[in-house]
Amino acid sequence: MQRFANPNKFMAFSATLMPWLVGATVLLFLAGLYVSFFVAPPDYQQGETVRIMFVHVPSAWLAMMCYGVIALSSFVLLVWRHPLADVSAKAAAPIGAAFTLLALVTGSLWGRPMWGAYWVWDARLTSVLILFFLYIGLIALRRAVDDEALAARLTAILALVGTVILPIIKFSVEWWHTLHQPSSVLKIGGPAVHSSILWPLLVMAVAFICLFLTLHLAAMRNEILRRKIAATRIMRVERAAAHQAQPAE
Amino acid sequence: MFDLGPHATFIWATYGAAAMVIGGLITWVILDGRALRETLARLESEGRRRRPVAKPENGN
Repeated sequence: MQRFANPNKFMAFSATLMPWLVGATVLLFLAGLYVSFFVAPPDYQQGETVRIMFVHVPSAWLAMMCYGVIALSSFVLLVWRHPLADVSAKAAAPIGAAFTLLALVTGSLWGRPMWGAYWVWDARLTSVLILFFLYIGLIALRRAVDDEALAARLTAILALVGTVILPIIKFSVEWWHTLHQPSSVLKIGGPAVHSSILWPLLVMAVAFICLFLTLHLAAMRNEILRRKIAATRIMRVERAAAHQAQPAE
Repeated sequence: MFDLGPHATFIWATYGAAAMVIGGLITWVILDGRALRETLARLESEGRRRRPVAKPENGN
């Protein structure tokens, strides 16, 4: 892993990996959409609205997974000062925010026909909303500090403090009485979902994970280019200043 | 078209929202990358033009 710490090696490695990831993502989404609409039967209680789950649940999983990636990258940055760790954390934040927003919107669209309300201040919904605000906070904090190294350390600390939200989201449906249903896939004793609905959900979940990996890798490559541009500009300004400072012969 | 029952609007809205968010992320990554590559290429070509040519040593 350490050999990819060099940004140039990472750029070469990711350029090779990217077409495969894009291809896998497209194929998995095509397969996932097919099984979601043509193979999965309507649920005996929720009817056709169960198809909302094939987008909502993977989005919600990714919202948490992406925060996990940011927290891990932040830890690696603070402890080992890995050159790509901050690039990874910075690139993942907008993607995580987008998937959290998608989880909130699709949950709301599922809640209206099932609960009769788009929104309720229940523990699961509220904790996911806090996660969304945390993402926004990470992006805003980074933009508010001009010094790149200081911004990286501050956002890393905030990201690590914010990890407390992950177990709260996961166990909110067990710790409090919520309108949101308890975990039915990732639970002790195995999934409570029928296999005819579980498999389409898992295919869509893998498609979403591949999409995240593709977007994250592409955003990391962009961030490396952004830093290379900034370094080139600084070098040019320094060279011009040194040239002007030379005494005229 | 599929018959998605009385709540079809909510199902289509869900997939529409997903398409918008995912499409937005893909567009952002592609356009950002393209703009950055163009800027870097311009900076590098400017750098090559401005690089001073080494003076020939004539022994004076």
